[in-house]
Amino acid sequence: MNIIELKEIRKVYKRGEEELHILKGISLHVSDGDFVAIIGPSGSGKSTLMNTIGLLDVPTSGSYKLDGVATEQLSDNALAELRNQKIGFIFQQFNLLPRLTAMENVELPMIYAGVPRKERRERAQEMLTMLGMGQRGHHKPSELSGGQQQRVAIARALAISPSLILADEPTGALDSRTGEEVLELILQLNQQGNTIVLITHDHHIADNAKRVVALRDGSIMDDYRNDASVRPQQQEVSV
Amino acid sequence: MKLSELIRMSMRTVVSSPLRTFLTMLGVIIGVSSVVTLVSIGQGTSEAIAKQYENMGTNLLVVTANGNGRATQLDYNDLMNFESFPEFKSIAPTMTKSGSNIKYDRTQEKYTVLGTNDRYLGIVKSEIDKGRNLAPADMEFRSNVAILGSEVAKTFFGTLDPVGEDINIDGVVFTVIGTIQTKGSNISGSSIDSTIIVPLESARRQFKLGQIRTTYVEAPTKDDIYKAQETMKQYLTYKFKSDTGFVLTNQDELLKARTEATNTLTNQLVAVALISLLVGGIGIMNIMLVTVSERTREIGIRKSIGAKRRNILLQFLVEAVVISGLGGLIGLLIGVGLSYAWPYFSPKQTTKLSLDISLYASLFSVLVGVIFGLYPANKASKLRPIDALRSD
Repeated sequence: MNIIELKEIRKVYKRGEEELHILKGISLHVSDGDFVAIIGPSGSGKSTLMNTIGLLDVPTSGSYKLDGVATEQLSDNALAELRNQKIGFIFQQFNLLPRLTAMENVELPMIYAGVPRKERRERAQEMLTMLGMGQRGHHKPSELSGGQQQRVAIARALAISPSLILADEPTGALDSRTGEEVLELILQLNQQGNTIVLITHDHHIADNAKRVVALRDGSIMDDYRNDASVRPQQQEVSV
Repeated sequence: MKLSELIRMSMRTVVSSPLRTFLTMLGVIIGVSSVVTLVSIGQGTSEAIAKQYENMGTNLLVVTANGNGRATQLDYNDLMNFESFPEFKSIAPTMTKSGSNIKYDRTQEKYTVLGTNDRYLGIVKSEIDKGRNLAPADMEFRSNVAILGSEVAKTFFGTLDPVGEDINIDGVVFTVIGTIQTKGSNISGSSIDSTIIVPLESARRQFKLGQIRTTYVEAPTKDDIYKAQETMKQYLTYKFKSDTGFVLTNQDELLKARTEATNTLTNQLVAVALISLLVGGIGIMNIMLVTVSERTREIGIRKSIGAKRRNILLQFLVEAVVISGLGGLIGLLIGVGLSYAWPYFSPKQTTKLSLDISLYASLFSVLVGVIFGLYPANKASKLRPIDALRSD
């Protein structure tokens, strides 16, 4: 079963008379439980691809099925609902709401999903505990380290049990050791059966994925599977 | 998403920057508190005026002859004849001499002397304190008797009983037969408390007063007063052979006119206060627009994790309403406080809190929040998630 089915996705920006072709007909299938790293230099269109997959931006043409749902004709509201139900975002800058506590940040997607308060609290606590942040629920993001903030963000992404976890440079704002820890977490999530699409420009991180899709100038240049034996040995990291 | 959830969310934002929230609310606070206070003062004034008129009696017609010479002379007995008409209850023609020299023992003071009949006290709703009222016999025999207003009595006799004492009015000796209960000033500012009442004919003779200037007429009911006014008008026009030279003042009409004037003034003040409430609303809109652009990233994050347009719209709308509503509530409390405190600072001013106006003012403040919050909230809800996320 494919979680993502992209077919001939094009994205064109008009700048005056000039047309900028950011995505030049991308077709890509991602199957359930896979871990795909989308890699490419800046300007390759990987952010636009990520926004398209994340339903944050609509392509100029082409079709996109997310978890079996065709998305081309959907209204803003329906797209919001799909994002809410099917996608867990992990951003480079964490994107936690600064005024809310860690706990409330994790609750946020459940609030929009209409999960009752008590259930929400329990689920958020469960997620935070799973990510080793069980004691930090009442902290504001500013009181947490970068690694801790990213864990809260991951807890938030997982809160609704999404079909797809979409990570945009999730280690980009972290020091290398913390980055390793977060990467390890993402690997574990994949082992638990979560489908992951990760955007990066870092080949070392891409080496950890099961599959690598390389973009250049808006087209897929390369698409290969990492041999499991080549993948770096997993270290035991306490989470 | 539930409303309670939204309100909780908005409250968080609102209390997280208290100074800004307070400054944003200030316009609404000032607006609502001024509406409440001004209406209280207006209503207090109306009520005070009504009370002063009631003090004088509302079924009262005042006939003033202001011409000079024989043609505009009013005859006492002619006037009294109207008492047999059904629309007249009692009639008190008067003559006044202000600034008369009153002497008793070694005390000397100037007061107003009013010559009238035994009906007068009843018509102006005053009561005898000690002694007795004028009697028909006093009128008939033109006795030199006097009734003292409470202030006059106090000046000359202190706490002693003046009844039976002789006082000297402009060189003529009068015997005090009674005193009048304290009344306070009436609408024209003169007070019966500082007046000495003597029989009409005695006043005319002793003080050489020419004519009956003012006549007080009491009608049985409020409706009769208009009939009595008409009767008087016809009579005076016939007698004076002209419809000038006299003025008929109907107390009921006067009360209505005064009340209307007060209400007009109050309405104008309230309109000004409402403008300040409107300006407060614009202040809210201003801050909400700043808030929206400041929180573009927050909006992007919320949208990316599943907030619909409606959710964002309501969030910002509820925020504006919470600010204006809280401002309205604080303004209401201040307004109520001021309404109660006002008479302490300005003892002559009475206030009366109007519950429904206070309620409307507070509700209006919420409406202001909705109206002026709508545009910023709509703007926020329309942001595209991708643009909103990109902002710093």
